[in-house]
Amino acid sequence: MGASGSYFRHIKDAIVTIFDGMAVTASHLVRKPYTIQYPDRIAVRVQDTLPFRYRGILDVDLEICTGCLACDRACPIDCIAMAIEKNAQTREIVISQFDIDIAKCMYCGLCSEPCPTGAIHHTTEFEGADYSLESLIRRFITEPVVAYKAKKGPEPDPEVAGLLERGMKYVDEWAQPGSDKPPATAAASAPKPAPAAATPRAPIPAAAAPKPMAAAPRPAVPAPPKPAPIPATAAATPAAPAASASPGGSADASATAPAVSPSPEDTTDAPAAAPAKSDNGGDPPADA
Amino acid sequence: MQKWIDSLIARGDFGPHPSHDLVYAIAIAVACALVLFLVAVPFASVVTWVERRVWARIQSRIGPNRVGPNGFLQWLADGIKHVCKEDVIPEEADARLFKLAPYLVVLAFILPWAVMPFSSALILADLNIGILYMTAITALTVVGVLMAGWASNNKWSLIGGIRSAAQIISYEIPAGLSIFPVVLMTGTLSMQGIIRAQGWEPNHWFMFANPFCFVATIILFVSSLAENNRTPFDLPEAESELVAGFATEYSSMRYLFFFMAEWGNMFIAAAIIATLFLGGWQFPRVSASAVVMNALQFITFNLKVLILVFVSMWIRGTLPRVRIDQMMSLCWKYFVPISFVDLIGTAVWVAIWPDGNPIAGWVMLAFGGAVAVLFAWRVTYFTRLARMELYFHPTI
Repeated sequence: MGASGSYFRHIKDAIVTIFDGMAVTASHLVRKPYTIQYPDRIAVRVQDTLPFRYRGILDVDLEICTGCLACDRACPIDCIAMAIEKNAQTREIVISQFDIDIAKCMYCGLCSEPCPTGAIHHTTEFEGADYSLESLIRRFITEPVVAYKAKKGPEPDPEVAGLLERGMKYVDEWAQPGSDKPPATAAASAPKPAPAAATPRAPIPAAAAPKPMAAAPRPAVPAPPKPAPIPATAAATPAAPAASASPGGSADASATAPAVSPSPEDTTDAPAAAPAKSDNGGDPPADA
Repeated sequence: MQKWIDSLIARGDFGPHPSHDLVYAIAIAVACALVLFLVAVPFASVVTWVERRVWARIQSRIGPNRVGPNGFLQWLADGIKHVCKEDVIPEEADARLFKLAPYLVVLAFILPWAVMPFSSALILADLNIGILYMTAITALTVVGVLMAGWASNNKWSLIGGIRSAAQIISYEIPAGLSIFPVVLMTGTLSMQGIIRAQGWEPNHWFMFANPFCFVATIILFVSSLAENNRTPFDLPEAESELVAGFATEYSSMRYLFFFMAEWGNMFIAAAIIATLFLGGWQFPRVSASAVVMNALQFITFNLKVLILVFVSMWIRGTLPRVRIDQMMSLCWKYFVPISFVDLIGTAVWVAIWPDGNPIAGWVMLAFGGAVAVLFAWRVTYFTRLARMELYFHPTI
């Protein structure tokens, strides 16, 4: 009986399990496929869905590059080749070469860390395929340009204000990890002063000091479109295009705008102070 | 068809005194070529694309959708790619047998089309031993596969060929025994005769004629999966174990032949089941015109076949591969005894009700309907369980 019982139990098990298995696969036939048809049949470019801090291919905003060579020195594999000349009369720095070998770059981000203005930064671009190794060397300078030098005054040069805003945001978020996240988590991590205080870099105190103040009264409920004070809108206007153009701009804008708002003088001084220091010393602390 | 050719000969289309046999031979050759080029080869090619799409959807993927509209021309691209590849014959291989093997496999795929009953008139040769011819010819595959495995002089190929031979010969027995009940009930081996003995209504199909035939249908379907080396019985070409089994050393057009035969055999196996158990081309007489009726019958037959082919793809997306001992025990310990019971049961049934039992047809149909409803309920259950966005678009 036992043998014949297991014989018919096997038949029953086979029928029941195949029946259920076929039902499972049939239910999959009416489900939406998961496939993302990268690169050509997607609604939004993948680059636009990546976070602001994504370490993609390096880019340089030459308009705000101070020629301090900090990135060149920081690069552990020497994929950045820079050459600068100092004009004795005008005391201007002329950058004559700025090459980044993307083929060598390992995307560690150590070059964008010491940059005082955030001129060298990672983008969200990652499609670097090309036909030759030579074409992977990004030559940012075709003819020598004068390095950026901050103007004395309450406001930065309107031409570079957008770039500076973006660059400083990049630098700030390096110093304060988590400020890229939505406001609720940012408020939780912001009161920690340790990373900001540990970096004796010029722009950091200016940008980081108001942050705990702005973070303290922040409501627990995340409310990104909060009514900003009037001076804040005035100060943030040049930055608006850059902020909205950057990915995840809406979440970042709420984090940076209040930080700028309480003391517009400080923030405008901050970029001005940075080149001044690097101009004299030429050697900001390499690593934080 | 013979009358039509006779009338052409009488009109003098083939010269004043043609040899009738020669004209018939030419006519049959032309008809065979037409069936091959209009039905068999396109089916075997297009079904590769269909299968990949169905399989992809079962796995929540999309599948090939780039070549042509929705990837429809994928089969053409694959075919051209295969033809352009280098035809490699291994140095140690038995070159003559190596070259011969794919043609035998293709022959076993081409010859059954001669008795394929597409409609009441569309059949190349209504042999009085049609179904016997069909089973005999499809078993020819084993010669080609074994030859390929041996001639390749490769361990994977040999194991694949031996496995395939063991599998096909084993499953010939339950498949043959599942055909006998129908032969018992109809008293004929002719494909058209078997179809004419059924009606267009499902309760007049042999699948629902009695409980034994219902089981025989399922056994024949599973056995035909095994004979065609389809998942879950694809041991001869198990990729993870045997590279590609008997086709390991093949390349280019010869490799293409193996797989064209394999996919084409899906159609043939489904056609056998549709003919024997699902009423073949039977369609209600809605029109007096023979052309219209034949067209409708052609569509009916192909629809039934394609549904069965779809089920076989669906099984391929569902079940994992069985072990060789499981495969053998399924055949010898389960299918062979059960098919003998089917055969004897049907014989007794026919002895009691020589003209069939009309109530049994309805009862079995109701049973089949209940199973289908239960199945639909399980599908909706699993669909709800996943809480996924539903997507009924057949393509993407």
